Amino acid sequence: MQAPFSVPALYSGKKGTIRVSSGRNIVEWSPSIAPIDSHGGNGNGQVNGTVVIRLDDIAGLQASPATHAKARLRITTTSHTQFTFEVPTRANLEALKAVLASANAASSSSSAAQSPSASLTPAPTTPGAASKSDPTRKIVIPTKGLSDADLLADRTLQISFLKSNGDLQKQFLDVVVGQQLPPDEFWRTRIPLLRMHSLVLAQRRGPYNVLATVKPVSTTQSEATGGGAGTAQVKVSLSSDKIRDIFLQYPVVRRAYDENVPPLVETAFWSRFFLSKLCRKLRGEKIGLNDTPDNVMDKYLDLDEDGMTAEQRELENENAKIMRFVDVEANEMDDSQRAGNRPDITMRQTTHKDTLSIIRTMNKLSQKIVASVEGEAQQPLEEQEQLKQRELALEDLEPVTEISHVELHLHRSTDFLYSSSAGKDVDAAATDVNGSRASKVLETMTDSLSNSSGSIHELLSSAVPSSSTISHAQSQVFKLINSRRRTEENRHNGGDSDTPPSDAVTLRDMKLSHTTAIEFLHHFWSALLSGEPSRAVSALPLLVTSVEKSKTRLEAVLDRHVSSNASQDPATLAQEKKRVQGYVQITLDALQSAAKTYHDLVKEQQAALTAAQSENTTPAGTPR
Amino acid sequence: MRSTTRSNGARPVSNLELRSTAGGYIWEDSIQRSWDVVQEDAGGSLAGVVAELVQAGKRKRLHYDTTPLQRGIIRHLILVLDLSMSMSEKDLRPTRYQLSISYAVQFVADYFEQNPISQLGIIGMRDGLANLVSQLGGNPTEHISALQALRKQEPSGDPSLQNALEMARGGLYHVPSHGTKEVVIIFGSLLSCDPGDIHKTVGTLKAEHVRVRIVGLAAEVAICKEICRRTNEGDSTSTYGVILNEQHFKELLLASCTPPASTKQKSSASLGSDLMRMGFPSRIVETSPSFCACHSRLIKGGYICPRCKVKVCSLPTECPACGLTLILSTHLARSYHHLMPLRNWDEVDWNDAKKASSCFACQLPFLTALSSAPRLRVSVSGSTTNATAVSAIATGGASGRFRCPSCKQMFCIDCDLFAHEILHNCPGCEAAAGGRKLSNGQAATEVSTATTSAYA
Repeated sequence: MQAPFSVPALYSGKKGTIRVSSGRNIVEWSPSIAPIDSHGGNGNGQVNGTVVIRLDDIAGLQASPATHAKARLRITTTSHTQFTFEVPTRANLEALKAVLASANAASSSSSAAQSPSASLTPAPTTPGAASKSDPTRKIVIPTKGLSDADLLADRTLQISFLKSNGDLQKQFLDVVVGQQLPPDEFWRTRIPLLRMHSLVLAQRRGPYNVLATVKPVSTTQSEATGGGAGTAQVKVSLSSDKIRDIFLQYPVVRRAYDENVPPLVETAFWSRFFLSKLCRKLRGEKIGLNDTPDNVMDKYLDLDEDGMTAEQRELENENAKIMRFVDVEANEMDDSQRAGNRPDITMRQTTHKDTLSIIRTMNKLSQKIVASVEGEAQQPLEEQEQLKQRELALEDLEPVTEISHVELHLHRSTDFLYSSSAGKDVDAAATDVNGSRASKVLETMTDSLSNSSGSIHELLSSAVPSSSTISHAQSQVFKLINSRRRTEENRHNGGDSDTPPSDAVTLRDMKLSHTTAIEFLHHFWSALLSGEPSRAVSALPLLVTSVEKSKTRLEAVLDRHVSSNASQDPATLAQEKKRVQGYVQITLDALQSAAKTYHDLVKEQQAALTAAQSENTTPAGTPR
Repeated sequence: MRSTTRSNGARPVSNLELRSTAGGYIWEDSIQRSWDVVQEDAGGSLAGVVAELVQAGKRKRLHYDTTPLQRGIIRHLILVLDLSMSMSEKDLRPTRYQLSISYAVQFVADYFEQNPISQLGIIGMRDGLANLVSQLGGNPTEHISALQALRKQEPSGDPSLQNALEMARGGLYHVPSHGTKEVVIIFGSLLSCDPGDIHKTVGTLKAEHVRVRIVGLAAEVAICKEICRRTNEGDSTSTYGVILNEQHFKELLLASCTPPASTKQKSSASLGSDLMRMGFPSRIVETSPSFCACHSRLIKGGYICPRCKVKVCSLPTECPACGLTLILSTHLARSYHHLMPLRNWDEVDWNDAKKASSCFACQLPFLTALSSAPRLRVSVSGSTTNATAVSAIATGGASGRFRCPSCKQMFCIDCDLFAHEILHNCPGCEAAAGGRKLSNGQAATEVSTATTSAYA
């Protein structure tokens, strides 16, 4: 019997406690206000606000990813009911998950012979079920949830995205909360962003070789007084996640931990472990003669990483089904040694035992990791065999597959524009030009220019413009060059340095109003061009009002700016207004033109309607 | 071509190329060491050999296939960078990580240079997760600044191809059918730490017509080959390459700048062509600044969208108000050279060489005759021609002249390279065209202000 395990948890928004019974057969959540003991619940379900789930009925456990803000655990029962609990801290969630997983595994596998510790630290699981019984490890890549409609409907996703993006949040508050834009309209233009955010939240880390990522820094301090052996010190940082993964991947470490930690302190155990030969062996390193012996850890050296002795392993292997394809005994006729080949490295008597054990350790670990991901072990034997055969095919020796591309049958632009008859005289011309030296050609050209200079003057004088036109053109050209130069300079200096903003407040207000106006224009055009009559009818009139309001808002900002400077004389005031208005004139025009487009379309449609003598009078047009 | 020059070859070697001249495989040939190839000439100088190597490098370009193929020129590409521990290796200088970022920056610039109406996004693989570096967008400066910000970080953890591919798939989810969906991965690791079955992900990618190319930095990895093979209709040789050196890395990566040719299978699935709306906005010059619609910044000048009249600060872009694709006609023209590659020029042998004495484009004189080699060195001037002349003697055959098959003009090798790699037009053909139809050329460069439709 174990002590009952409990953590505080929220269920459907209510505070309460989740409890795993001492027999490890019932999970129960009860609200903290009225704790009602209801062990008598027969099935799974809610009794007086209490949720009781039998462990035998748990079909799946799913925890929210580590990147997610909230720690949630979802329990799926065999009757496909789902319960989602929210646990205040991530550590609690991990502990709960581990307890449930281990209990579930214990109840499902009959060969469970374990003595789990009562501690809440990372939970032990039964050796055989380690890889299979951890459903939380399996990823569920969201394949549905990515369609436009799903994303638009997912409010929690939208909220979490707003929280992660400050600028967007500001805009959302301004446009949706402040200006009454329907939230669906707001998100409709940002669906790709939402989709990316949903993927960022959904992704999970795959299983990995834990021991390889833990890098202990060992420092050997020799005793200053005597010439005795130095005491090795090891510094290693372990998170509870890592410890859990080590236990999962190397049951032998769990066994050592279980059997030794009561006498040893936890930190001492880990520091001894990372210095021991056992750790070296599990990491796949060679054990040297210089490695310090450790009377505690070395006991486990003869066990393999599943915590089994060689005999136990033998026994298990006899019972296990071996794929015919790799069964040496079944393939005696195909034995390559009969053809005079040397036996494979793993089959030689003389092969160093260490090398072989490293190969085995690494292979088993990879198998375990892959199995925990794909559940390959559950595949029928025949399928596995086919897979193996396909893997063995030497793809490099396969013929290269020819890819057929779509050829474009187009005439070369030159062939197309100039008929092929040109070919001959081009040839002649080429020899002509290339036959003489380039300098000669140039000389002829300059000669011809200087000789005919008179004629150019004649040409010019016949069509010479008045001097005023010339100076006008000149000033225009210089103005253009100057303004271009200034723009380029600004760009290099990084922005608006040469335009002193009227004042910070006005500029900020104006920028905000401008951004909002563009936002509304965006929604207006996307609704107008969407091609969906229903959307156009329902959203457009509202959006047009918003567009028109944006215009008044911008103008109000302008007026406010002018009135705040009322003390100045009218001339400079008018100048100032003109200057500030210049900032947003284009935006104002765009707003004006959008509204005009809409009203024109409505008029057009109404005219068409009256012309057709239709009784159907829609208030708003459904353009396009 | 000697087999030794293949050791720094640019392309993945196909099975047939492994055949040596003797008929067997190349590994059956007697070994040729690079220091055996480099032989001093009589005067003890290496100049001849060096010139020959330079020439050989230039000639490599002629292998390119110039068949005009149907290609998707409106591209949507996700660049995936490996930011895992394996990228801290120092086999590339200064590290794989830093060099990959430098090349990625160059890739982004070249990609937008050659595909101005395309979009790009960047994803990083770090700690078993995929991080979004920059969203799918058409502004190169945003991507480059995001990449520069990565420089300050350190590579860590394991990469996950599955997470990255899933995220790329999500990023390309909304791409319309006329655009390509591509993923280019720079992969420095030999493992992928995936949370699920990556084969399923590859299956969905294939179903959604996402094409994946991978540049491997370490060694060939089976899963990478598998991904490329399945998403490119069985073609993994041109889509998955493992680098030999820095130069090769760059070549493999920049090969993705060329839009992918659509295969018969794909194009039969999407019948017909769509019309796509594009706007050709007019540039405005302002004396006082005004807000741009794209960044809400006060700037002078910009472009006015022809449909909704808002101002944007740079092109090409998508109008922030009405969503119209805003480009210049020159951008479209730049994308087209992939569809109509300039034909390869033929090498001219000595019999025809007399027809021209200088390059039609740069007007520098050609080598005159093979027999008068010693005198020739005195007669020519200019370093470029000198290299050509020396190499012609060394190789003992090439006349250093290249003729365009359509206009029959002759060019030197440097002009050949320039025309094929930068200009994408033949000066001879254009000169012939210009003489006859000057008005046509002018019309093409004029910027139209109207909203017009162009073929996708």
